[in-house]
Amino acid sequence: MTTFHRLAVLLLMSLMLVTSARATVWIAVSEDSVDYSAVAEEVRAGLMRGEVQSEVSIRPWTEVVQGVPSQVKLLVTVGSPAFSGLAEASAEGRLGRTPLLATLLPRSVFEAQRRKLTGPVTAIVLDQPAVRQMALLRYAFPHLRRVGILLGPESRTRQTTLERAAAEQGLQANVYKVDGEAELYPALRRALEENDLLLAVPDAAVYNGGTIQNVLLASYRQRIPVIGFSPAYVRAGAMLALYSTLPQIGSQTARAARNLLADNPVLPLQNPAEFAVSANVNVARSLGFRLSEDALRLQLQNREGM
Amino acid sequence: MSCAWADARELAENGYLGDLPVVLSVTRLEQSLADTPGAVTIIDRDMIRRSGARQVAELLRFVPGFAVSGWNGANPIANYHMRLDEYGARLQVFVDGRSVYSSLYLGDTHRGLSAVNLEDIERIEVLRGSNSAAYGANAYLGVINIVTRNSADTRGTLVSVNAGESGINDQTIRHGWGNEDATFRLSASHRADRGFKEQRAFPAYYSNVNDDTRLQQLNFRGDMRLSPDDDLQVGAGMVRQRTGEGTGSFGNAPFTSTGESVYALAHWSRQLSATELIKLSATFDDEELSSLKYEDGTAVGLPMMVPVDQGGRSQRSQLEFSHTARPFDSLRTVWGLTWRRESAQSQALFDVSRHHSQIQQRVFGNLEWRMAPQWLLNVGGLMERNSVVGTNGAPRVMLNWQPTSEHTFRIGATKATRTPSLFELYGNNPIRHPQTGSVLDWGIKASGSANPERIYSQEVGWLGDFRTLGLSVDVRVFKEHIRGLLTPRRNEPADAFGTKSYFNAISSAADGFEYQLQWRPYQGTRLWFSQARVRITPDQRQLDQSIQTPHNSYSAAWFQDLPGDWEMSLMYWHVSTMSWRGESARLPAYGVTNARLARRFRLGGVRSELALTVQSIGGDHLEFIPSSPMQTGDPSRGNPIVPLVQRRAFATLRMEF
Repeated sequence: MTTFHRLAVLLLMSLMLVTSARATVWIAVSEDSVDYSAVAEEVRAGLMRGEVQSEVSIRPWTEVVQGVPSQVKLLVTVGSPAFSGLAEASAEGRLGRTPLLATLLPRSVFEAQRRKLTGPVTAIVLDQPAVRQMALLRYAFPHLRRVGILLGPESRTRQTTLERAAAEQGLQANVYKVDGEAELYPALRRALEENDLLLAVPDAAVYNGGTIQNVLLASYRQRIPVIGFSPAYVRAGAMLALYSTLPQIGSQTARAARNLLADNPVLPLQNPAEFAVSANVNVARSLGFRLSEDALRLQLQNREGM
Repeated sequence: MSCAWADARELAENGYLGDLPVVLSVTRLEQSLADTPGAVTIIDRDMIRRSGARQVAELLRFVPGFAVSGWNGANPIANYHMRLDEYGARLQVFVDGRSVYSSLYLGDTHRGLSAVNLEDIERIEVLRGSNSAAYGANAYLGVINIVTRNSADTRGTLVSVNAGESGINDQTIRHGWGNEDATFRLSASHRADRGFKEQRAFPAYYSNVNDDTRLQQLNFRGDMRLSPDDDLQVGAGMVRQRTGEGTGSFGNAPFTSTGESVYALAHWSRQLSATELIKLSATFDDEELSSLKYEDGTAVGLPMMVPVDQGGRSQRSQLEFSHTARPFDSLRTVWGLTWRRESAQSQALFDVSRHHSQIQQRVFGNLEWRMAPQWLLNVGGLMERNSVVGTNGAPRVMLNWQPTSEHTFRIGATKATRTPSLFELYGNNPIRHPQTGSVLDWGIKASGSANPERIYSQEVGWLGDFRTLGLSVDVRVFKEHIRGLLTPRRNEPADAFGTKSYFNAISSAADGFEYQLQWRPYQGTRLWFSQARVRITPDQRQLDQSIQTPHNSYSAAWFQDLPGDWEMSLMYWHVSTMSWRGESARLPAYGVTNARLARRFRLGGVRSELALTVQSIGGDHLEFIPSSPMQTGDPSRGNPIVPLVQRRAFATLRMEF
């Protein structure tokens, strides 16, 4: 080994010492898409601002499942493919007990896979809390009471939570179970006949690119407002949507990551803390409603003491 | 396998992150009531069902300003603000965008109105007030826009039966099928009753009037999505209507009239962009009416019954193109072109074997400009070129001010026209000797001098929409000037038969106010009240007293859900003194109460309903002409017969699966 080589090894070792003083965080993204990268970058930026200096590396999840070095103090998964992939790897013992923070995924995906993880795990899910959704309905449509909800296999578990939240807000939630595509339209027809509002709850078996057109058109014909869960719903023709933006999810994830690194207590499952309200003013006006996005958001924020 | 798994995982948050096609583009949206340039009453499916109505005319009693009657039980009529029109010829009636007036006689809408199956209706929009600017000639006093249910909403099977007193015997069977991209519906129905009963003055007795109705119809509707941007609606149907006519009194022998009609329609719309939509529509109607009536020849010095064939055939075809755009957020534009041809052939009405026809070409447009968030200006108009009567225009301007979400005020003015019917233009109905062909009697011999009728109307309105109280109020204060109403007058110089022709002879003015209240104080309670007060001022120069609109009319309804899936409806309406047929036939004020009790239940997977409806609970009453023989017109005609609307009850069973 030449002197040069010795020096190089020394340098490398001292570098590793420095870096291990800083926490290393790997962010496993689901794929190379704008949405996933935006959240990953937001998390990186948030961590950089934190008290605990961290080394952040954004990698495709397929690379992360190959193995994680011991100096990685926290794994963050962005999106459900990354989370599911890492859960599989963890079950196979490839991740050790590295703490994992899952973000930008539906609650149903998280709950279905969380047991596979061998290490401590925290999640920030995309689902808005049921009480917040029901409160929004009460503020936006104070004169309407009956809320129709179609639940498929993925979202079936939410029935009790939704019913309880509705009752808490003085609303009546009527749940219609949809097991297959053949059941969707009869269930939708009943839901539109028996309710004043239709609350869309994420479930790929009920709401997907193939069904959304018919759901929105049928609801509009019956003059029933549809409340969606993303801005795309409002653009498509839903009257209202409650959701969290990518930067909002990103900064909440960064906060949770900082707390985890600082060993502060963190709730194992977090609902989105910050949120946005979008309204389709034209659809609302056409059905005789006047809605203000800002007023509704402020009402919800006040309610939650924000 | 692994690929499918990846897809499923991607789908998980696709719901939140993925993009969706724009489904309800701004050009597809309908105007809300607050943005509508005029007063609108909407009768929805729930109200139709709960009312126990068997046909559309009955429902129009709930609309302020409408009078509903019928010269007999087989010919229900509904008219707005004006009574000298037993045929509803001055209303525009659409069923799925197809105008349903008859081209054969005076432009009657009463047959078209009764040939709609209530089970197929999604809602009835009644635009109160003249609206030729948007809906063409015939939208002279108002527009009844019947929208049938989209076939996507009527998948499955429905069976419905009414049976009860007065020969009520109705059946409907409907089946709907399809997939996400195309749905279809076929409904067949039969409706029958024995109509009114009659009261004869000398000697006084009651019996059935010859006014039985037998109506059979078959309707088809299909809704298809040809591509994400292309929608096609098609419809077709046939109606066979047998109605009893003639009271049996002198000069009015009983006979049966049979009408057979077929129609077809297609509406194709294409979304060019998020803010641009084009629509192409084609409709076709064919109506054949046959009624052989026997006139008593002694009236014209012939000791025999003279057969008079009153039948005929008419056809109408229409093509329409329209373009809707939203160039800016604050501006919505609609413009379009219409071509319509109608023809009528009737030996009895025109005394020639060939047909008469007219072609209408129209260009129309409307600008809806939101000048400020609270101010909306609608400016529209229509130019119509008629191959017979020339060119006419109908402009309209309406300003809506919505200072808060609860209040909208409207002010506007419009001019509307009504094109003379082919009969008013070319009518010629001599009664000829069956053997020699010589003329025995001659009623109408049109001089060809009929011009379009005009109406100028101004209105101020207020729409109060108190959502938290469940209350909505709609008030309309109006002033209408009718110019040149077509009416038969003696031809000059007088001929041997004293024939008449249609002249634009009557002018009059009407003013008044009307309002409707809808209140849902609780879930399961729906209250409805409407009232109209109308004052008609006939033109003094003509001293024509025949326009006798009820000065005061109102209707009230209470629809209530009861525990145990029971439902109750109570309905009442009142019409003050009026006249359908001139001053001498003044009808006294009357009030009518209807009630319905229903229970909804499930039989396995079958959603069912059993109901009992009682109409005219208070007993028999008059709705068309008065009972005193001195007031029915000409006492020399002998034995006046007065049709009475009787109390009748019927049961309904309705099953959907």
